Amino acid sequence: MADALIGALLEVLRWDALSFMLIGVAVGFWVGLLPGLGGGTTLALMLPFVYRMQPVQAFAFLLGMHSVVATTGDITSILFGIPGEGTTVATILDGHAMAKKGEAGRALGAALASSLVGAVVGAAALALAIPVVRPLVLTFGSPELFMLSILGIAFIASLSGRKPRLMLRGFLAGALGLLLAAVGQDPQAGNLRYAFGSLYLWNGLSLVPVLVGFFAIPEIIDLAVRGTAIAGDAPVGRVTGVAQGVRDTFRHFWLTIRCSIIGTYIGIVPGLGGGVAQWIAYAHAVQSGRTPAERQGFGKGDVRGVLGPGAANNSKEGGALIPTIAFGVPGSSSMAILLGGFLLVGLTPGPEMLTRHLNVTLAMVWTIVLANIITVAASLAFLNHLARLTAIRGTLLLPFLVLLTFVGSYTANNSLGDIAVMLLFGGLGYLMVRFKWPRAPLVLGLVLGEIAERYLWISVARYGTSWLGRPIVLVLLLLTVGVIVSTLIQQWRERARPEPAGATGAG
Amino acid sequence: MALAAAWALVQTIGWPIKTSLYPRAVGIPLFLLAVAETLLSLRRGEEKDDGEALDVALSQDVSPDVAARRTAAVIAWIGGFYVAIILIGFPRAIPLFVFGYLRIQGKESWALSILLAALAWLGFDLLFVRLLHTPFADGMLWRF
Repeated sequence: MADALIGALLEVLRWDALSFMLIGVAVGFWVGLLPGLGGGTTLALMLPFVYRMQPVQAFAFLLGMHSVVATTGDITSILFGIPGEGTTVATILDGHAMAKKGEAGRALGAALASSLVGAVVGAAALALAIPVVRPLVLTFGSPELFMLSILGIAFIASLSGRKPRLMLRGFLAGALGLLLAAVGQDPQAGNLRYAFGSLYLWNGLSLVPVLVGFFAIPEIIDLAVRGTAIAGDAPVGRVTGVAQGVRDTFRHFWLTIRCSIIGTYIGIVPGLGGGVAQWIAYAHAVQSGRTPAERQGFGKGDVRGVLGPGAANNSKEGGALIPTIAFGVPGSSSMAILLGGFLLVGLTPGPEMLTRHLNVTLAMVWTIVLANIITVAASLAFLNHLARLTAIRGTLLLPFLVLLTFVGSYTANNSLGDIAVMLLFGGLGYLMVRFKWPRAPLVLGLVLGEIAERYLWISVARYGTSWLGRPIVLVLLLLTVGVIVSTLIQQWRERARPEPAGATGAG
Repeated sequence: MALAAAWALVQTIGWPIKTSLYPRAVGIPLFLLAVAETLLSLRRGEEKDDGEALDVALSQDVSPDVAARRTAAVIAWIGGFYVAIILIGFPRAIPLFVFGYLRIQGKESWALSILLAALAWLGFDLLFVRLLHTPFADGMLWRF
């Protein structure tokens, strides 16, 4: 195995493969920075270019591009409060709050370092999973996937806030998200639900315009209201907090590793995706707060709120590659497109990728690691320039942010309906922030609702009610109950315990 | 939200069970929770000690009057941009919006406003139109 690993590394470092990887990384760097231009879409656009490439070159190019979009997507989320990628939304909550406090450098340092750790963990999981991947994936059928989505929904409890009223609002927002997931054709009979006779809504609400509007519009309005730069009156000058952000990653190293593992595992499970991984990692980061004061610091600029999703949204790529390579079962929509890349270069995903074409599989592992190292190094080199964007006065920046928001939403389906949805959810997002309703549960409900319904029906149709007794289903059920009960116990303890004077968040 | 949930539930009447089960399973708790929230709001109002949501908070540094005026202005600009896109299409609405916002709202100089509007249009045209071939429809006014 060690020989194969070294051989694969040397193949990736050959000038031709390395050149293609650098081109891919450069494309991925900008795709990640631009809101709305998704990694999946760009992957599809770049697919025709790999026709004449060798497999290692092709995957150096495609994976080099795809594995870094979440890293640079975090940069846009932190600096502007606009999600660079659909998978980097959770980074906004604390990352952008830090940028507003003049701590953009620290937030970026933390995001980049945790992204690198996440990417390495995901790639390592891919390398280690090769011998054991088959039983790992086959243990999960539709009942387990349904329960996994229910477990994800249970995290609404930790994403809501610490007071009972906020918890109630969190569950309300989550339920609204679940109901919004019902818009469009139902997955069983194909009947239309809440489509208002609009063809646009037949496929349900598109996530990109929903997320862009939901998170970007409130930030844009707030920027206009403040009338200052994003960083306000805080001195930006030369970015000095980057090293501190990197140190934060190692100060909370186990949290970063745990969130990386969460991302990897969610990546492995087909159908859940990075949209879920980031929120569960964020919820886990919130739960890691030991005191009420620490937990209340989340959403206001706690660095752990950057580290968790930063690590998870990068580690998921390595995880998602595992079922794609081993079975030809894509772990996400991007992986489905990458599957096309396999066929274009004459490879068939499956056992051969773990035997005859093991060098290609291991080259993918190295590509993920090297592409992220290069991206993080390049980002660190330009960080001063990037962070200075937060010092540009709001009136100059605002029309460009609005422009990015509109074009980014439109490119989801090339429809004006996307912009209408973006504006609608922008208004809803603004009202929720204004009246102190947590937005994260709504997103989690919207993302998981469709998955939960689909797998519930498949489970019932395939197993009747017997699936409820499957061992992993029961374990996941216990975990779900555990998540809710532990949150309620934490809350009860907080109310019973007097608040220490002068306590501050650990951010 | 209680009204929206009630409406969503009423809509499911007459749907086949496979279509209606999920929205009902979600809609009923949503309705009950929304009623509870409404009753709490009526009974206790917006209490000070409800705590902060696990989310970003809007700035409190600006007086409410100024904040309301600026909010209305930016919403009007965003709405205006949307209407402009519908009427004259993306490629024409973009420079118009960027220039208009910078010159009128931002009170920037003519030269800077024109320069940045041109850069916005150029970036849009090169990336989305020429490189990615994203189809942008002409505005309604151009269809007649």
